Amino acid sequence: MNIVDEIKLTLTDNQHISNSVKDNLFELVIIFNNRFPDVSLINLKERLSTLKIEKLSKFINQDVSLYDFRKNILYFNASEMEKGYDMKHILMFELLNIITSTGFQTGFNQDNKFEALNIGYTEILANYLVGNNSDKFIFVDEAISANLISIIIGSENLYKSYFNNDAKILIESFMKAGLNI
Amino acid sequence: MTVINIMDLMERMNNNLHTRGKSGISQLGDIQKMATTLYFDSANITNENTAELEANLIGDSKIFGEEQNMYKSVEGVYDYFSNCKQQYLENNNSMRRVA
Repeated sequence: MNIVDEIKLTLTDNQHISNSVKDNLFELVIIFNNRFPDVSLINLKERLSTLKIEKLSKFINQDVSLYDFRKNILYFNASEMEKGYDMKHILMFELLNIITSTGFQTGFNQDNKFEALNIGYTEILANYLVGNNSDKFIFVDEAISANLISIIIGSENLYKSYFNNDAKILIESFMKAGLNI
Repeated sequence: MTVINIMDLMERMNNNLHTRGKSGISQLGDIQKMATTLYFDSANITNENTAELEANLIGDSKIFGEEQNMYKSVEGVYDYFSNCKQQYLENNNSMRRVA
């Protein structure tokens, strides 16, 4: 059985997620795997087995969604969801966060030093994978800055650093590009 | 060459992320200016290659070889980059003249 089929079974067994969300998540996993077949999905499979989806209070966070990698809970802000976001884009953004989360960090965001850059790069990837069919965007500032930085240090280095949770690759790329650390 | 500390840029991007919406003030302009300067510095811009670099900059919205549709809506950003580039060139040229 390949990893994608294993993920399908894992999602089926998860009692915390509704069937419609399971279907949506699985569709996005397929899209991701087709575009990035070299990225391991073992971590995703483990996380999807216990993933919970809960409502987020707008008084705590005003973003439309939030993934807590420590608790493995994906939150959605119901009042923000009514404002016309492309939820396929939002769900892909959060799926990328799940794929690249360890118990300690997401992507290359070690010690929160690269939080905005990590978010910007995630937004670029989500846009590449599923586009955005809404006039409402998330994290445009961060995506534009991440795009510029990828030009400077090479997008392949951001990619390696992101999917290997290795901020060292990022820092070395900055240094190779002649930037002050 | 303009000296910009990349970790300073990271910190400002993080601050922008956390304060946007609360203060109503985006620091994107300053951050873009820093990132753009980094780009032009790393590309070793000269009067001769500006057209090529500008084309690259706009072309680089095509990440992974496919157009990123979100950037269609922020074309103004590239006008901003052009202005930054002009200022950068003028500063560099005057520095060369002084030198």
